[in-house]
Amino acid sequence: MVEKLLEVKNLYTHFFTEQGVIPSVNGVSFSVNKGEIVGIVGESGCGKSVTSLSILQLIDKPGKIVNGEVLFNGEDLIKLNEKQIKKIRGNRISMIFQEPLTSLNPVFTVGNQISEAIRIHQKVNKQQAKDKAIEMLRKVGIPNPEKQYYSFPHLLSGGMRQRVMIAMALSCNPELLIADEPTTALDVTIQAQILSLMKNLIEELQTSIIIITHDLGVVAEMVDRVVVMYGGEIVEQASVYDLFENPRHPYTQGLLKSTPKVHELEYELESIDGNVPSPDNMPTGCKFHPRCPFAMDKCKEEDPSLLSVGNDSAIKCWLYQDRKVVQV
Amino acid sequence: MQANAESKSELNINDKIAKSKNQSTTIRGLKLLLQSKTGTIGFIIVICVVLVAIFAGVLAPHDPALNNLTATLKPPAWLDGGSWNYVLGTDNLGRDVLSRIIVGTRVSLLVGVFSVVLAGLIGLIIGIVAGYYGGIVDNILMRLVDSFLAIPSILFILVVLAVFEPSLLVLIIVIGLTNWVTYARIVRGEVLSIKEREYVKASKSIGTKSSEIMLVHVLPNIVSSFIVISALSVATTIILEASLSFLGLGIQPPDVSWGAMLTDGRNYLATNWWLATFPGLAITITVLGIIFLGDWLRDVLDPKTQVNQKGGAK
Amino acid sequence: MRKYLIRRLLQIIPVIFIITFVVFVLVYMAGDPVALMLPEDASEADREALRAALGLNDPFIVQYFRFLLDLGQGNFGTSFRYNQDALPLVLERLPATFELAVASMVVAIMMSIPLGIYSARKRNSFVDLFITGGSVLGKAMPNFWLGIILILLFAVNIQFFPVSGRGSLLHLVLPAITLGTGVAAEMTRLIRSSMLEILGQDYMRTAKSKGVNNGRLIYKHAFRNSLIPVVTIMGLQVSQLVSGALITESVFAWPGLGQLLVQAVNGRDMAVVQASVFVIAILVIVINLLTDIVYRLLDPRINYS
Repeated sequence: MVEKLLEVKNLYTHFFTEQGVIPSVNGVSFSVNKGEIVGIVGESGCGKSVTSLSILQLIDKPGKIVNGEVLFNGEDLIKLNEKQIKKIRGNRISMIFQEPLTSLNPVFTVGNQISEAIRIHQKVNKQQAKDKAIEMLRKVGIPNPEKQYYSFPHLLSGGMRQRVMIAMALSCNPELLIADEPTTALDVTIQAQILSLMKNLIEELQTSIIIITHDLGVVAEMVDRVVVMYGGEIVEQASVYDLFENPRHPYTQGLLKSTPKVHELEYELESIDGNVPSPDNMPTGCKFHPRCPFAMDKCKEEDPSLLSVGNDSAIKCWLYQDRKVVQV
Repeated sequence: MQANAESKSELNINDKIAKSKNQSTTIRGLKLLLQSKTGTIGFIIVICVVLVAIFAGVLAPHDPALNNLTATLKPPAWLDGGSWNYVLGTDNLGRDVLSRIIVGTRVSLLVGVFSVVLAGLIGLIIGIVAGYYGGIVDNILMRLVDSFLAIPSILFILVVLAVFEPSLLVLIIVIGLTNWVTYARIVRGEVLSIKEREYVKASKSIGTKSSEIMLVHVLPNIVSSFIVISALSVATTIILEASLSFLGLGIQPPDVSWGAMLTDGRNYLATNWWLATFPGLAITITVLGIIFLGDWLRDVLDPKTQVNQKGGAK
Repeated sequence: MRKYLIRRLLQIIPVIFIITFVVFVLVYMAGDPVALMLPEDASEADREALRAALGLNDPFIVQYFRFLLDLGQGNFGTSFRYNQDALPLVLERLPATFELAVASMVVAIMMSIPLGIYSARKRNSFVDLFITGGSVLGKAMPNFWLGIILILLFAVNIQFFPVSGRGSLLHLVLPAITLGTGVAAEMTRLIRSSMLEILGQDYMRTAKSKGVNNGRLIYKHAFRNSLIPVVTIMGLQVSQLVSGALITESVFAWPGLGQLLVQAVNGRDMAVVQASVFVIAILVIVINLLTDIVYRLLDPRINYS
């Protein structure tokens, strides 16, 4: 029996702007097992980042979690007060972000920023925190860490900065790491280095990971299980093998087609027709129907629900709604 | 550089939109104004002040310069000893405070508006010359601009006022001479970017005079920045004029100015507080109205701030 | 850094030349000072002799260079009013002005930084509206009127502070508040907007995701970054501080440089006007240079790029 580390249940996060309510995340449920790497995939604006920020209650005004549970080792993080959630942040669950340059504070040295995280959560003195920070810098493969400890972020390259972010995030041995587009802002060669670094460290530290990305290459490389999001909802969930072998949802199929398959020397990029719907103007029925090649009349009127199709997989599409009845 | 170009093209688009809907511009503007509370308040205050200045002669219940030694230092009407004949009381020479405030509006607005117009004209000319000729002319003019920015303009004003006898005209000229710098910079930047555009090169090749080219193409693009800067500039100029008059370096008697009224009123602080209170209130309310209106205009007109806001949100 | 300093110092030279030139032209245009210097009944021959002695008959450019030469030696001429050299007269007023300026800046900083930060954190709240409104009002209210009102309230009605003059710490309070409030009004607004920008930065989210608590989030991560614009803002306020000081000193009869300058302008005491204007201009330029240096020290990104 696998142990569930994190369980997001029926999460709704809405933004209350002057122009009206924007439902960025609309009833999202998924789970992360201990030692598992879960990928959340979707185009920008699909709510994947907001979902990840909601886990640690990092949603700023005017955003608000309006409903749902985030069970971490069985404890609902949403019910925690500020003081309690701060003990989780950076300690048991930590995050790394897309833009390593802007995500590091420009006026403090990288060492200062890493040891700050250590000193917040561990009872150590300055020297011990510094030693630990240097050790982390070494672990993430930064050359000459004793010297680089005193570097300001702008002096490092993009890849090095992301290594610093990883060192900072892993400095307190978190049980869960949330990586929001960790390689998007980096060069392709650096991307591969960062991914393999993350992979190695995770094995060593036994950390579970949620990777948020729009890059299916990253998913194939890293992930055990995939959650596909569209318009603030989950449209498909499957193991990575299943998903690539047998993508069920038309949206997933479109995504896979739009990924350049380098190893097949097939550079043609077939993108999905149409645009991502804006969250304040969602289509009726199934939100994907205006772009769906298989759209039926029913899709325009009624929204399908996410149904389990066995093998830890789930799908939210009218095409499979009837078949599922047959299957069960 | 690129952001600059973007905001300009946006500006052009705004202009086109404005032109295409010319008939209803006034109505649309009013509707837009009513959406902003402070904008509306500012607009109302400014309109009132302008009307008071224009009709000061009719509105003032008494001759502002008329001494009445039988009614000196009367308190405002609602206090003991006050009368509705002198609503805001009288000063040490028996002159009606309300009438003096009403007439004082004229000086404030005259100095505020005309010095800003003068500053805008100087800035326009210097900016076009610097931007169009470039090279050493530009270099010298921009050094001049730097120098004006490096030292507080009040120093220059004081030197001038030490040399020339202060009067309404001198004040307008000297304040205008110190305020042109901001305008010059905007115009220069606009000229530099327009100079490179194809249609300017084209009209030059047909032999149109360069000064004409510049005016025709630059003016539409700087109108909104000019309006926004001018509004706030008028506000600061009114305070400046009041300050100078307060120091005895501005408007001289028998002309009436709010600042000079405060100088007189200061001597009677202990016994006759109203003399120093009401002129100050008049200045504050007027300036507040102009700032409100100016801020609203900036939000509506200046595409640069809109671009910045978008950029800031990112 | 050194290169930068040298470049900045070189930039000051043309500015100083332009100031000297403008002042000289104005004084030249003012016409004949001889009439003021001699008794009314002096003969035309006496006048002519004095003109020749003062070199007033020389060509413009010769007079200008002589003027520059005099300035180089700190010789601004003699004050008619005090009948002594203008420069020492100006310099002895400096401490009083300096005291007022520093006290006002302290008042401005103590008001604007907490208010600006607080209203940025509570954006669009009632308190934010109140603070923002207050800063607009502070901008609209003329400095000298605020001074008069403060005198009326706290020196005349409640006779707690002295009405005017310099001496005890109590003398300093009202002038410093008068001048400081005007500066604080603008600073609060600018600090609020720079703080708003900083609060939306990615690194603030990173810090939050590390479990940094709110106080530390603001006073370590945000404040250190906001110092960069704040120093720039303070530099920009120097001009306002100077013009404010001229007026505030006159309102409170504060025996500083501002009061001296205003009296000199009123009395057409040109030597003192020139000397004060130069001293103030040089001070402003030096302060601006210092702010620029501090700015560079605060932002690690600038030194190297």
